[in-house]
Amino acid sequence: MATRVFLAGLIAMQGLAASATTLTGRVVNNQSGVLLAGAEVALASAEVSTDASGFFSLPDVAPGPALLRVKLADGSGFSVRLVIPESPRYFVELDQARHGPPEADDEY
Amino acid sequence: MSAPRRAIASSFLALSLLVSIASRAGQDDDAPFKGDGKSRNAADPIYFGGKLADFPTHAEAESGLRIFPPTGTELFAGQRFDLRVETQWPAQQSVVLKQLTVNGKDVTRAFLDKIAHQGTGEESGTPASPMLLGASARNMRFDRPGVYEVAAVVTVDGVERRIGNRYEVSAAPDPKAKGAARRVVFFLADGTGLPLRTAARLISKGVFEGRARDRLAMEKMPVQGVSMTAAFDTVITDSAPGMASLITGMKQANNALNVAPDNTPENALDNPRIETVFEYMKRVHGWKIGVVTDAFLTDATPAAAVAHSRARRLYLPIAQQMIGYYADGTAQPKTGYAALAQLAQPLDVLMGGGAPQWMKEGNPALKDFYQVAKGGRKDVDLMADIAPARGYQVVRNADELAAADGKKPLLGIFTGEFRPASSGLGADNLPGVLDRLVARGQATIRGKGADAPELAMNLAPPQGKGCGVTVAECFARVPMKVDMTAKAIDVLEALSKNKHGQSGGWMLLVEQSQPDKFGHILEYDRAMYEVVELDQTVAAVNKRLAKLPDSLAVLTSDHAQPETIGGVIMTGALSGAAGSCFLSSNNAYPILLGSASDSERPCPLQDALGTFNDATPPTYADRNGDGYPDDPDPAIKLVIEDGFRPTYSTSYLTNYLPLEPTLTTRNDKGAAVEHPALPNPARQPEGLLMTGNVPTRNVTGGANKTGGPINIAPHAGDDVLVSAQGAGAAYFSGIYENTSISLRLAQALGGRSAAVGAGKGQLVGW
Repeated sequence: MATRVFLAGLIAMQGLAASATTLTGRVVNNQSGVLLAGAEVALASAEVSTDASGFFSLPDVAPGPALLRVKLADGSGFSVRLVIPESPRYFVELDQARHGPPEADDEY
Repeated sequence: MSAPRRAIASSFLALSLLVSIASRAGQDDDAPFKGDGKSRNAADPIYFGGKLADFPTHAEAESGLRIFPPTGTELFAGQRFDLRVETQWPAQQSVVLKQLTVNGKDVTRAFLDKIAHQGTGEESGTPASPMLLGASARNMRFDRPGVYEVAAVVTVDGVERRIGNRYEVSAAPDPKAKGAARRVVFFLADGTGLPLRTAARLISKGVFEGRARDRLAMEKMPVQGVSMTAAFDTVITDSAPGMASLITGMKQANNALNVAPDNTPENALDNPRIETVFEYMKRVHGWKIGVVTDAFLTDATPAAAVAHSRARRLYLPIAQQMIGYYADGTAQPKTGYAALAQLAQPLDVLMGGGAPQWMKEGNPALKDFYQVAKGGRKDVDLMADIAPARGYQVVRNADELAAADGKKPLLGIFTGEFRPASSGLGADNLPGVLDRLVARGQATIRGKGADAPELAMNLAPPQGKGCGVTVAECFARVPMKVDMTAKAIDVLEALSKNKHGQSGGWMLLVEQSQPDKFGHILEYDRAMYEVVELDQTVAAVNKRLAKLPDSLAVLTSDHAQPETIGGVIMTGALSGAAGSCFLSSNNAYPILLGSASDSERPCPLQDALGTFNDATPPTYADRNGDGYPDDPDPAIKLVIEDGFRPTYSTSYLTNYLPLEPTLTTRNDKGAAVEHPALPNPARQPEGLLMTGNVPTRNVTGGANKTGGPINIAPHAGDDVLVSAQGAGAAYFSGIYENTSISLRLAQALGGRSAAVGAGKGQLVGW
């Protein structure tokens, strides 16, 4: 627990020192070819929705490691690990097909 | 640190402590497990402030500007690839390609002319939004070896954005060069790490006083190397990039077959493509090419020889690509795919499973012969109509295969593991070799043969008797890998003969898919037998190739599985040890440790494992001399276990038929509901409960990022062995990226110079 608290503190300090990034991206499924419109993308307390082509933009994101949560219009969801660089903008593709096991026995 | 900053830092530390405690409320490792299939039995296993790691990609940060193939792709001269320039984030007003250079030479005009000539849409991979740049110049190539730097400048909303890629281009294959390989068999042992090879040796060759009584044929191949298997986007590759990366030189993303990602995810068939060594040798040198597998033919590994798709799941167009059939109104249209049709080369020999991807719905053979109750294509019947019209002879079982004309292209599709009581293998895949041996009367499982009801082989096939009167008959008629491969070589050798009676060259991919497929469902005994079948094929092929000049055999794996050899077990002692291993409090899970007689001895089965000094040599026997152990459960048998796995139970005995490790139920609509935290009660419920350590459910909170439960063992990120023998084998020694295998093949095929210095050649294909 002590280690965990210490690390959490370190990350908070990093966040304080660095300038903010605009995290932009796209929520898609590369296997089904679906652009996931209306998905909610959340990082900590900030939350935005994707547009008709699956694009989203989250301003003022602290650089560093982060876990991005995606909630799809059908209620299902997945989350994505990121290291957000110290850059004015960072683009990520959030591919639903990457965030789960193969759907069928055939697809290993 | 200054005093004010120290104060701020300490206050953040305090705040973090509060946040951390608050966010942990209710997430206690001791929280009771509800056993309802919905709740987890513990807090998230890792907690790091909700933050973890990722990997960066080579793109300009503001616009996401990038060039494909990815920088560092290991190309050889003449190898085709699509040069793509794209942005990933839509501009507000305009996005324009301002300049594209190759080693400083401006090729902007040529690029734009090429795109205009190709046309927009699928042919060039054009994004729907004009605010995104995206254009693929198809089928380009560097004409000479060397180092090439490709740079793009794109103006996005009036601001210039830049990116550059670097490629080392090696010499093109030259099969007429002295010592070049002219016949190549490429073995792909899917999911076969070193432990599984060791296990195959132990069970098929034996060990005496610490020495192996004999070596596997793959171990007798004189050159051994090591391949690093990470994919473009994950260190745990799947089988699609696992194969595709190593025969193209381009690191690919999971689920991708011979393409790079792009900014049109709505179309998986228009991605920037790259030519495989198989395609190159056929296109440029007229070689004949083939694929033999025990998976369904459109599965990732066999498809990787010639297919191009961002989604490995697009089986229907992939099947068409494999025989070169493009037609509008079908799954693989012609319109929009002219460049694809020029790139993807039809295979001359195809053997495997998966009839539903090749036959039209309603074809009676689908049900009567292949036992497929529902399924089939809706557009065309490739097997009945298209393939024969394109010159393929079509075979369905071992007898037809043996009788097939050795001089005509061949499409062989065989019956799968269709027993309704079996689960986890996938009904489109051929029955495993252990089950085929039992059907042929060459092996037993726990002493039981094909007539024993436990094996469900003595029954009539579920849908029709086209393949045989009993399941055993159908399975016995599925050809063995060694026979499939021998016929494939016959055909390739005959088809490639020139007017002087000499082979003009051929290349064959032989996949053993089921070390992986059985590894996934923790059917370790069956997985070991699969490696033995592959090794028998290697032995037969190497013997034959030794008589054919200028031939090369290479064997490697796309990735490993997290398997390791733990020791041995005495099978006769297990019946007494099994049962009452764990006490269930409510006739369901969770379980309690301990037994009524001994609270510190949770499971006698655990004590049955012989390890360290106690791992006496196993006693597998091969009395019928077929090279396989007669039974996977001799008096003393080898025990393998996974480092990563879902929860399952095991008594260490071989299941009578393949069974998935975890529980699956059906909802009121009949759809399958997976319960990866619970063991399959039909599978050795008396056994030792092996607690899973892979994600079980889509948990929000903590570090878990999986979008779904994992009810199988995953792949492993370990390096894998490469074995080689014959012409050019020496190029395969060393430790290298899997993409380097493509270049080593090119060298063995006569491409003698490595990439040195700036490329004096040009990018051509405009």
